[in-house]
Amino acid sequence: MDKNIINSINKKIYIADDEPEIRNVVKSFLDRDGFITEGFDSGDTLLSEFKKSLPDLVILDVMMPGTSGFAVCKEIRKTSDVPIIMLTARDSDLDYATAMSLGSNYYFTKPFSGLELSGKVKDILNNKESLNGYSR
Amino acid sequence: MIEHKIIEKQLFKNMVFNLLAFTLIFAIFGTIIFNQIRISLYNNTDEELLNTKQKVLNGQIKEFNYDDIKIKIVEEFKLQGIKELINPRVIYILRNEKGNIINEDSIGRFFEDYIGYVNFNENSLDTIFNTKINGYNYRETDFKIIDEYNKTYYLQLLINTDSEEHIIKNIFKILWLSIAITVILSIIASYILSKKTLKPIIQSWNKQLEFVQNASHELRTPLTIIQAKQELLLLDPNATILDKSEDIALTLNEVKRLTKLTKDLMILARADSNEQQIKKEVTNIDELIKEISKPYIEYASMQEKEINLNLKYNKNINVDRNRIYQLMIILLDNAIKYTEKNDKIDVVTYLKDGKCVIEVKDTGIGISDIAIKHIFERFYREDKSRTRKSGGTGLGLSIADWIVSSHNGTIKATHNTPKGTIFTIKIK
Repeated sequence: MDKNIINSINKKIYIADDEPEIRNVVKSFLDRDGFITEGFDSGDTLLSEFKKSLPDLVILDVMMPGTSGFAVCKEIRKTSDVPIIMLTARDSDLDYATAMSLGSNYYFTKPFSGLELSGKVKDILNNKESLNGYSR
Repeated sequence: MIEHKIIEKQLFKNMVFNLLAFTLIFAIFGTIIFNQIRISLYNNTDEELLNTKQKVLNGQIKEFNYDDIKIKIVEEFKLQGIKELINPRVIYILRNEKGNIINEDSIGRFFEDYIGYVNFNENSLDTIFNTKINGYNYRETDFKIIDEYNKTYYLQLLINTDSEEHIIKNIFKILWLSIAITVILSIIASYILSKKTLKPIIQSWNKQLEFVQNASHELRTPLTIIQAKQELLLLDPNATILDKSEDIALTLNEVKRLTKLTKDLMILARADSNEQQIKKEVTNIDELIKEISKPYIEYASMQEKEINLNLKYNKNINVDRNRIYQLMIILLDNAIKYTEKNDKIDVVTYLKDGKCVIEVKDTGIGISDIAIKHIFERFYREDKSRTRKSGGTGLGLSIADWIVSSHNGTIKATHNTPKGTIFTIKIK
C-alpha cells in the first residue's frame, strides 16, 4: 500500500477560504487521498473550531472578509505548531515574507495545482522537518 | 511597506524641491532689495561727487591758489547769492603730477591725521569706488585737471560714507536674518504643503493598489478552479463526460465569469484613463427603458417575479444610448438576482427639479445598512458566495456609478419599505 495513503488515515485538515468553489476543489483533492477535511467560510469560524478540536494541518486563504488568513495564522501560532499552508492571490515578496514570519509553513499562490497542494500536504504530514517553502 | 517608502521618498523629494524653490526665491528677492537699497544710498553720495567734479571741470570751482592751496568760490556765483557751491561733505585732496598732496593745509586739521593713509592710483581715474581710510569708509572719485599753464594736477574727491555703510550693514544683517527665518518657515511650510499635495496622490495610489489586488484576486480564483477541475478530470481517465458533466459545467461557468470580469475591468480601466467616450444623442428615455425592459419582463415572469413600468418622464434627453442601455441592464440584472418568487420590480421615470429621475425599486432581499454605503465600490460584495452563484463580478454597480457620473448625474441606493432596495438616478 502507498505510504502516503496510510499516513493520511484519520488526519484532519481544516480549510478556510471564503470562495466556496476553492474550498470545494481543495477538499476534492484531499478527500481523494483519504484525509478528513473540514471547510470554513471565514477565519473566525475556523478559529472557533480550532479551539474545540485540533486538526493535523490548516490551509488558509489570505484575503478573507473579517479576520484575514495572516491574522488567523498568528492566532494559531500562539498556542500550536500545527503545520499551516497559506493560499493566496497575492504573490509579492512582502506577502511571502509576511506569511513566513507569521509562522506559516508553506505558501501557495493562486492559481495553484491541486495535485501539488495535496502532494505538499502529504510531504508535510510525513516529515515535519522539511516544511518551509513556497510555490508560485 | 514598499509603496509607503516610495511615498515617503517622494514626500522628502517634494520637500527638498519646495525648500530649494522657496530659498532661491527669497534669496533672489533679498539680494534685489539689498542691492536696490545699497544703490540708492550710494546714488546720493555719487551724485554729490559727480556734481562737485562737474563744477570743478566747468570752472565753477576754480582758482586753486596753489601757493596757499585754497579752493575758492567763483565770484559770479557769489554775486548770484548761491552760497553752497562747495558741498561741505566733500573733502578735496589735490595732488601734483607726481601724486604728492599739495593742499594739506586746506584739508583742515581734522583730516590731517588721515592724509597719510589716503591712497592714490592713477589707474582708477574717473570712476567712483569705495575706499577705507584708517578704518573709516569713503566714497571716492579721482580725476585729472590741467591748468592754464598746462600743468597737470589730480583732484581726489571723498565723501564719508560711514552712516551709509552702517545702514547697509544693518540691512544686510536684517535681510540674512529674515532669509534664515523664512527658510525655517519654508521648511515647515514645504513639509505641510508636500503632505497636502501628496494626500490625494496617496489616496488614489492606495485605491489603485487595492483595485489591482482585488482584480488579481478575482482573476486568480476562477483560474484556480479551472486548473483544479481539469486536474481532477485527468485523475479519473476512465470516467465518461456524463459522469463529469457537473465539473465541466462548473469549469465553463468559471470561463464565462473570467470573460465577464475582464470585460468589466476593461470598461473601468478605460473609464479611469478617460478613454471611454460618451456619445450623447437626443433620446426618448421612456421609449429606451421600455425597449430594454421587454426581455427582462418575460424573464422575470418565468421566475414568477413581476416587472412594472411606470414611465412618466415623457421628454427627450441628451444621453449616450448605449451607456444608458448598459446601466439599465446592470440595474435590472441586479434586481432580478436579488429578488425571490412573487417579488415585484418597479421601473419608474419622472421629471423633478428639471432633472430626469429613474428609479428601479424591488421588494427583494435588500442590502444591509453597512453594505448600502459601499455598494458602488469596486469589488465590494456583501456575500461572496451569493454573488458568485448569481454570476456577478462585483463591478456592475461601479460601472453603473461611472455611467451616471459621466452624464453629470447622481446614483444612490436606499432601502425600500417594507423590504428591498431602490436605486435612484438623477440626470440633467
